Amino acid sequence: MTIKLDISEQSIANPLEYTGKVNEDFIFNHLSGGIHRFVLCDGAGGQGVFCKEWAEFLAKSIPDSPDQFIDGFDSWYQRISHEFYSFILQSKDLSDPVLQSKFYKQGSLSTLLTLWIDTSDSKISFAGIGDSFLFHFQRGKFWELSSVFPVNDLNGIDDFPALVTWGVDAVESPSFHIQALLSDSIFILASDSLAKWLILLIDILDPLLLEKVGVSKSYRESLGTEKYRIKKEKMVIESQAKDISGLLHNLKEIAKTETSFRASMQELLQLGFVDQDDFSLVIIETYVS
Amino acid sequence: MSNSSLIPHAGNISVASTQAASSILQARQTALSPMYYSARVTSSHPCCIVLLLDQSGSMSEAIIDNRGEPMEKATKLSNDVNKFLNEIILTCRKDDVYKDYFSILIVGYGREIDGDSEGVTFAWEGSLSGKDWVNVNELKDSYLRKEMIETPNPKNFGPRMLKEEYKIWIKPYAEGLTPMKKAFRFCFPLISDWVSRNPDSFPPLIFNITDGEISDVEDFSEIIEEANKIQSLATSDGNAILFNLLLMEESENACEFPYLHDRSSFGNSEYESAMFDAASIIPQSLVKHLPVQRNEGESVKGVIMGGLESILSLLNIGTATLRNKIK
Repeated sequence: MTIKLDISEQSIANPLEYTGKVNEDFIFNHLSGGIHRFVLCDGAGGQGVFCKEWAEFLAKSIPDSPDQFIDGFDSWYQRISHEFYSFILQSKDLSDPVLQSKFYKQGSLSTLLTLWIDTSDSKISFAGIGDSFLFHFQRGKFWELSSVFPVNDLNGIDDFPALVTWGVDAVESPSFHIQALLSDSIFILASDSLAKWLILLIDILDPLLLEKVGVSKSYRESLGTEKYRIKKEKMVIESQAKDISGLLHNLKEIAKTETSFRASMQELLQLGFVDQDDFSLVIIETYVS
Repeated sequence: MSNSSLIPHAGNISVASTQAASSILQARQTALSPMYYSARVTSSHPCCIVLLLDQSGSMSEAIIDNRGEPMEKATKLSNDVNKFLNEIILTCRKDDVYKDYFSILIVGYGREIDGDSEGVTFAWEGSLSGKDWVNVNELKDSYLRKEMIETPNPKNFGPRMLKEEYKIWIKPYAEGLTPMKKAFRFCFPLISDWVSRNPDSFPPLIFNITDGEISDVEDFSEIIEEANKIQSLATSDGNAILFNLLLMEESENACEFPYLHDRSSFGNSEYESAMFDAASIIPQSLVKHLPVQRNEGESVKGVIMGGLESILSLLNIGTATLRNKIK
């Protein structure tokens, strides 16, 4: 069995913020020993300091092998925490007492989402902490949603996500999933604002679909609150795509170039369909033959 | 390609019409709903925090703190407000700038002003004296004095103790009577104006901290009425939330964030019942930020009747709630 990959990825700072706004998301992909590793980390700059640096550090530090990551998670976490701490001490000026207090007391925080595609073993694994989501679509007669991950770590769409910080004793272990890759698939990694928008789109297309793929009742109920009902009604009025295939086609179009991605995010922001945020979208198409 | 094409046509989606929160009852229903209180806090969509501080004569009394030491209520209150403001500055410190995520209004009531023992005034001192709303950049630059303190480092790396700046903006006062109604009326137009200037922000959070019986009402229903007016102020993300803290050393009614159905247990004290009634019902999405565990789905009142340690516990709800909303 051979597996081919086609990758599109875009990541931009909030296009409506001031020029020069730092993008605190970080996307990374790497191939080693037949395993493709895709990582999206969303630095939570509202919570701590040096979150962009932490997101990048985390993303680049994820081990090539999912087994290595999960089996050795605690020791990996302690090692990269120490490395990050040393890196900040060497590269940043902490002479301001408020900044120093914040660095130690609130730290640096990020979400973490990783997809490993093992082309030699036809296996996929994913791990995540937070509200950046992986959407897995499989080709059957039509394109079908197969899973949304790690959506069930949240009670609802507005629930505050767990975040990874550095230098603490008890860090939350990531949710983890592993399965065989048997058919053509599309994987979408999306940072939180885009992930929420995608969830709403899927809910509009087929209100039973999220239940079918195992999204929790509490999360699904949160999509039915008045705020989101109104938002979905507006989205329906603006809509053109009619099914999952159409949705995937359009997503691939906007992820083609940074220009199209930026323009699309601007429009979604102006329509009020996504929250003010940085935006990252990674689309991986796999062809199994 | 237009983004709009990404949005699929779908089946029927019934959308209930938004009900105008024109009455107090409707306003409370809105506060109960989990559908709001999700706006993100940014520099362009800041959140306002209002502190109403009782500065009446009875605040000079000492009560026992959680270390078993007697402490004057007014001193503890000003210490904790200063701690809270330092925490706000820490929260808004970004890598290279301070972000104006918050507008802060602090009102003291009970001060003697020009012979009036029911004075109500802005509580800022020094260069901020007389100011109403203060943003974070003003706050960090305009303080009465600062001290260096040492606190334990929570991280596994670095120094065992951290040297921190501790700034002071508010001084303790314990002077006149307790004109709470006047204080509510004083801040209403200011909050109303803030809401009209920030219609899509996270709703205002108002913390009223007192120890004594209200001196400017004949009937406690008057204070409930004023509180309801404040709670009727709303942004598109929900109604203002009013918390009441009644400082007391001992009471059979001591409690933190009781359920709405606990109302009957306050029947023996008309004043405590009024403070209970005047506080908001905490929106469901914010209940998880309370320092006490509460059953999901049950209505919880934003009221504390307790000791000195309750002050910081109450104010921390503001930072805990809003830190999670900052983007």
